[in-house]
Order: sequence, then structure tokens, then C-alpha cells
Amino acid sequence: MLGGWLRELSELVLPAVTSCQLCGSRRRPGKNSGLCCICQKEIDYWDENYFQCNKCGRYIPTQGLCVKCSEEEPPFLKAAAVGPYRGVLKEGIYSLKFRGDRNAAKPLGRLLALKIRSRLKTDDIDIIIPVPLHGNKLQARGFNQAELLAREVAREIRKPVAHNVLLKKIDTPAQTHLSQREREENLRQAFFVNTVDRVKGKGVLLLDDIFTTGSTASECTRELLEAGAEKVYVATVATGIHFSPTE
Amino acid sequence: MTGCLKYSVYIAAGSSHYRAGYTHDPSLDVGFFSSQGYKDIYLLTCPLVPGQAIPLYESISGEGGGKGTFAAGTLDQLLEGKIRELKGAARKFKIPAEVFQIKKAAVDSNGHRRIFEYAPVMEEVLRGRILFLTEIERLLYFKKLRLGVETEDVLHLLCLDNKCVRLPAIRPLGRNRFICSRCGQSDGVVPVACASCGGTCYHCENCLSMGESRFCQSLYAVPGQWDRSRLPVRQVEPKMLVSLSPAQENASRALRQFVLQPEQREKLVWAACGAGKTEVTFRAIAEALSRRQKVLFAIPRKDAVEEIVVRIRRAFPRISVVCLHGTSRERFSEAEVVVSTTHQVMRFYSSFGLVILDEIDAYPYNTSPMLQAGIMRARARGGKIIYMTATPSEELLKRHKKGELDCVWIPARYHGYPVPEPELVIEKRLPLMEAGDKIPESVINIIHETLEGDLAQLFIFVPTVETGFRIARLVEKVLKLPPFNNFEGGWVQFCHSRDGNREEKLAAFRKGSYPILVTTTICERGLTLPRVNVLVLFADRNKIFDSSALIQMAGRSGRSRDYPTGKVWFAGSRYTSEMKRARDIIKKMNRQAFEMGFLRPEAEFILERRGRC
Repeated sequence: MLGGWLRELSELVLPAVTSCQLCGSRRRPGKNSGLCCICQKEIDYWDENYFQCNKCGRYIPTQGLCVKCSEEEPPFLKAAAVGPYRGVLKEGIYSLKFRGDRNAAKPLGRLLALKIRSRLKTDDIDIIIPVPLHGNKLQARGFNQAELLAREVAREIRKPVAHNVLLKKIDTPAQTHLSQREREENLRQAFFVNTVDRVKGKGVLLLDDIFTTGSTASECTRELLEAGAEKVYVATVATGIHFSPTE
Repeated sequence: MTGCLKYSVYIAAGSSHYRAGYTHDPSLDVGFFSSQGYKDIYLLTCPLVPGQAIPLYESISGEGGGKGTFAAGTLDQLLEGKIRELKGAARKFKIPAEVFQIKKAAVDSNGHRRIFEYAPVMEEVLRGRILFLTEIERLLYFKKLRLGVETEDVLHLLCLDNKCVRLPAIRPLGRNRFICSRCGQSDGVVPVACASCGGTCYHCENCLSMGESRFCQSLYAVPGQWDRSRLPVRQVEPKMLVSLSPAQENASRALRQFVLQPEQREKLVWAACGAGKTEVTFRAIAEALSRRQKVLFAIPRKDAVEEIVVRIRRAFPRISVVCLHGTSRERFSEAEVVVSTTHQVMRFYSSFGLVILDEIDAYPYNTSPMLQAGIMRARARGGKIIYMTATPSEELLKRHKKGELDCVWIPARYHGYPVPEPELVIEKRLPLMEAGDKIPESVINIIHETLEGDLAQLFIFVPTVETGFRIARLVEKVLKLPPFNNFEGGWVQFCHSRDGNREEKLAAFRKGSYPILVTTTICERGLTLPRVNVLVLFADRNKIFDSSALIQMAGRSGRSRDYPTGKVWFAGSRYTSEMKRARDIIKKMNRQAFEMGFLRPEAEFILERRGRC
């Protein structure tokens, strides 16, 4: 194993082979995105062929609001997501969350920042707050994936991350197999704002990895608004699809 | 789910004897050792993560296992001396001096009895495996075992009883140098912030795909073959569904003999593509099973695992066989025969009396020291390995030449026809084709000959995904023009490793739903089609198409009895040594098969005709 400076020197002489930052393949990555043609194509496919709901950001076949948002408006102002929870994004999130591949947060965070810039008003955002994990889960996993993503997004959009502002006080069971109603019940009163002063009158960007039914984002938003936040935007790497993709 | 456990290094002292150890709960250790006269425990360090505590313990335990005696009234001196030794080792591992202290532990020594009752269950569950605590908890959940006590307490008592081995997941080798105990790699260990141990931790990036291996975690392993030799020998016979060819029969006998004799530990099976290697191993497997040994059949690729497990289940209907790969549901099942990808083997420890490693030259096994170390660790003490390949690496060949590795040859295919020898096509205008511009006449002729002359399907191998997309489009266009008969519809498909519809496209190609499949090296192995020719485009790209890849691709052709004389073309803008080497190896194999009398009489004419060409 080479020392740090020696490694840097060796990389100057023999630069490392560039590879796609998301899938790791040695296909030549694009200049701006750092993604290979296949990953880029896959991510672009959804934006080229479908629309995102103007409110919650889920993929829908026509422009406007999804059925859910038109029935009941979510408490947050607007949500942004890189793409649906499929293919390369699903693999990236899985690697980050369950395999502990913290490096996956970099490309995912960068993609998310691009999306935030194009979809949300970054001037309205004062702080970024990652969705918290309960202490027990944090102990077991060793890191909070939303916090890693928030750090990357913060670096790109030049806004500060507020740590330990929003906390989770109840260790709720995993939501994977729960319905929307069960999820809402599961998360009720699970979050609280630790330091009210830091959110009062601020524009908040709430950051998470996946937006499925929106229960987590809505519950966190309610807490933040109650604590005095002026407006809350939501950004997630992946989101849901509100139609059958064959439509 | 728990966070990381921290351990203190200690000295357990009796009236005149002592032993070193490390524990997360001194009560367990006092309870366990009380019958041996150890009454008190003196903690020498603050609680430390396994990556620190275990190497420190090893630094004072030495060869005697940390046991010794002391004269009456010298206990304090002994403890001071041990602290000095620990501080010496700590400098090497960059552990601060503040962690060292001498503190007598307050203990309740009766709690361990109830926990120790669960030790045999845990030992049985873990037998032959090497797992992290979280994986063990998942395994217990899968087996519906609720212990009612802390899992780590049971594991700790098993370790004290020397029935389980505890390893730090990441072991320090010196200042800023670490090695991952799971994959054996040191290059990919990097610092990370960890909320579990609350500081800068380290994890291994090489084996992240198997789950995180962190400095603050321990690996637990129980060797697998301890009691098997005591079980009575039984008779296991494979149910052979196809009769073996003379070449296969020879090899099958040699492998059975290899399992029977005690001296040799490794054997290489060098077989032509499509020679029927799998069936050749069945008698060797039966012999190992007769001796109550567990058998591992490891292959680098998942689709090959799924295919081979069916054949093994058919051959051994009364033997339990499990299939392990990334998405397998049998991950925690017990069986006598395990058919697994080389990645899943990483979770076995000293478990198998016979290991059969197929496609040893295939990616990712061939380039991964981690997987290679995993296979070695999965083999039981005294266990045997059979390596199988159509294209052995230079290293294996060197070992064979030196006489270190005995080799069994299967130079002929089961149907007795020679492997199609590739025709080298040099086409200077190929770069135009790569640009998606024009398709050279020679390539059009090959496609035409295959589709309308041989009435066969055609594999077109390309070096990269980008090229594949372009070539597929171009070939589709060409099929609409003369000399083709304006072929409309989906005649050409392209598939690559990340293609979401790969399985469907391959299944349709197997069924004969379309005639041309453009693909990357992803399809170089494992596909058997009844009537297919092979065209390797840009075969001069020798970094991608090395001789072993070319031999494998050529091996897709002529595998079935219905069309044993398939055709293979390597097309490039120049000759490369890899192309020539691949052709020469195939020729040599065919010659050898002919001379050994494994080919049909008519094969002589085929070889002679090719010789004239």
C-alpha cells in the first residue's frame, strides 16, 4: 500500500482508468455527468418519455398533477427526484444503503443536485435537512445515507446542511411491506425538531434516498412547518411511478 | 440489530496461574473459567473495537495462548509487564496510550450457564460458515431459532471453548496498513466515518458487494468437517442420464481415482468447449459423498449455476443439493452438495471435502484474488480441488509443466466431431463498420452464407457496448438489401451485460425466434444452440478478445449432434498473436483427440479438408 503522497504522485504519472461513477464499468464516462452512456441513457429515458408530477415528482404519463396530489395536496411545496426506483438508481441506492458503499453517495448526490437546480428554486432554500435515522438503526448501519447524500448536494448547490435539527424519536419498523395508511400510522409522531431556532422562517430542503408513498416526507414536513419553517421542498434520489410504464 | 461490540483485553488470574483474553462482558469469562481456578479478571484496556482489541490480545498471548504462572505476590508486576507489552504493540497499531489501565472487573459468574446451553445449537448453525454478527442473526431468523439470550454472548462462549474462531473484520498490519479478513485484500481498505463505533473507522471496498466489512466488526467462523469422518461410509452412485463418450469415460475414471487416493490435492481438467465436463465429475462427486464429505461445485457465473444445479439434482436425486447465487432463496439452507457462484463461497469456512471449480478462467474469478482466497478457505483441511476449464491460464499451465498439478485431458466433444477451427478474416475496411458507416463485403458474405447457405443462426461478437448498438443497427439495414431477400421485422437483436431484457432475448434466440444475435463477451460462455455459426468482429482488439475469450466464443459453434460442423470466423483488420494462438490451440486439441482415437472416422476428412484450407 502506497503512502498518500506517493499514491498521488503515481496517479500523476499513471492516471487511474476512468470508469462510470454509478455502475463502475470501464465504459468511457461523459464529460459532465461522469456516467457511462448506458447509465445516462437509462436516466434520460424517463425524463424524455414521461412527466413528473408538478407537486410530488412521481412519474406520470401526462403533464400536471398525479391522481394522489390532485386528491389531497401534500404539505411540502414541491419535490424533485432523479428518476424512478428502478435499474441503475435502484442498484446505486441498494449499494449505498445495504452494502455500505458510501462512494455511491457521490454520483447520486451530484445527479440529485442537477435535478434540484432544474426543478426547484434554489434561491428559496436556506438549509438542507437530511431525513434522520433512529439511533438504533444508525448504530447498526454505521451511517445515515440521507446525510451522505445531503453532504454531496450541499457541496453542489452551495447551501449548508443542518445536522441534528430533525431527529427520529421512535424506532419504527421498516416500511417496505406496509401500505400507505400503515406507513402513515407507523410514522405518526416519530420525528421531532430538536432546535426550533434553526428552522424558524427558513426555506428547508428535506433530503432522502427514496420517495415511495411520501409518508416520511409529509410527516417530516409537518414537523418542520410546525417548528416555524417557512417553506419545505423535498428532494430524493428515486421516486415512484404512478402508472403502468406500458401506457 | 446491534451496533459494534467493544472488547477489553484482560488477564484472568488464579492463585498462581493466569491467562490472557478479551471480552465484552467479563462475567461470561469468569463464569467459563471458574472451574479452572481463575477467580478474578483484571481489565488492561478500555473497551476497544475488534480491529484493535484482537491484535492487542494476540500481541500478549503469543504461542502459549496467553497462559502462564506467577509467584505469589507478583500479580501487580505481571499486570504492569503486560501493560508494557500492550503499549509496545499499540505503537505499531497507532492506538493511543490513554486506553491502557488496570481495573479489576466486578463480575457475576453464574449467568453464563444458561447462555452456554445454546452453544451447541449455535455451533451447528454456524458449522462450515464464516459470517458477521448481523448475518448470523439473519441466519437464526431464517432457521426460526429464537435463542432468548444475546447472540454475541453465545458466540463469545463458543470462542472461549475454542469451537469458534473470531477474527477482526479489518486487521491492522501496521501504521495505516490494514487487511480485510473476509477477502484478504489490503489495497481497498479506506477510512470512513462510522456512527456505529463513533469515530473514524475503516472498511474494505473490495468486498462491499457482499455487505460492509468494518474495522469495528468481527467475523465468526466454525470449521465444517469435524464430525464427518466418524459417520459410516455409504454407497452413492450417480444416475447417468447420458452415456459418456470414450474421452469422458477416461476422464471420469481419473477423477474418481483422484478422490480415492490421499496424496494429490489438486487436479486440472482441460477440456474442449462442449466436451461435457460436468458429467465427468459425477463419479468423483459420488465418491466424496460416499465418504460423507460435502461437495462444492463453484462457477463464476450465475446463469451457469442455475443450469448445472438442475443436472446435478437429476444425477443425485436422493442427495440434498442447494443452489446459491446473489438472488437465491436457499442462501442459508444446508445440503451435501452446494452449487454456488464464486462470490457466495466467501461465506463458507473449511467446509468441503471436494471442491469443483468450473470455468476457472472466467470473469470475475480469474481477476479476483478475493474470490480465489474464498475458494481456498471453503475447502476443508485435507480437502481436494478439481479445476475445470477449456482455456487454462499461463500460471496453471506452468504448474502443470513443473509437475505440481496433474492434468486430465478431454480433447474431444461428446459427439466425436472436432471443435470448429476458426477462419481468420482480414478486412481493412472494418473500422468503417465500427463507425456505424459501412459493412464490408466479406462480412456480408459471412452473414449470407450462414443465413441462406447453412440455414443457421449467427452469433456476432463485438468488443464494446457502443459498437454493439451501431453494428446491430447496421446489420439490420443490410438485411433489407440484396443479396438478402428484404428481410423485414426483428431479425437482429443486441444484448449486453446491463440489458434489462437480456434473459428474454437469449431465450428467444435459443428458441430460434430470430437468426442474428449481436453481443459482447457476456455470451462467450454457457450458451448451447443446436445450429449456430460464430463471427467475432474486431477480433484484433486483443485486450478484450484474448485467446481464451476467442476459444470460448469459437466453442459456441458445432456443439450439437445435428450440426457438429459449425463455422467460426475471427474478423479483424490485422492478425494478432491472440487470434493465431486461439486457432492453434483448437487445432492442437483436435489433432490430439484424433490421435487418441476419440474422434469419429469421418472426422479425419473434416480435419484434412480444414488442413488444406
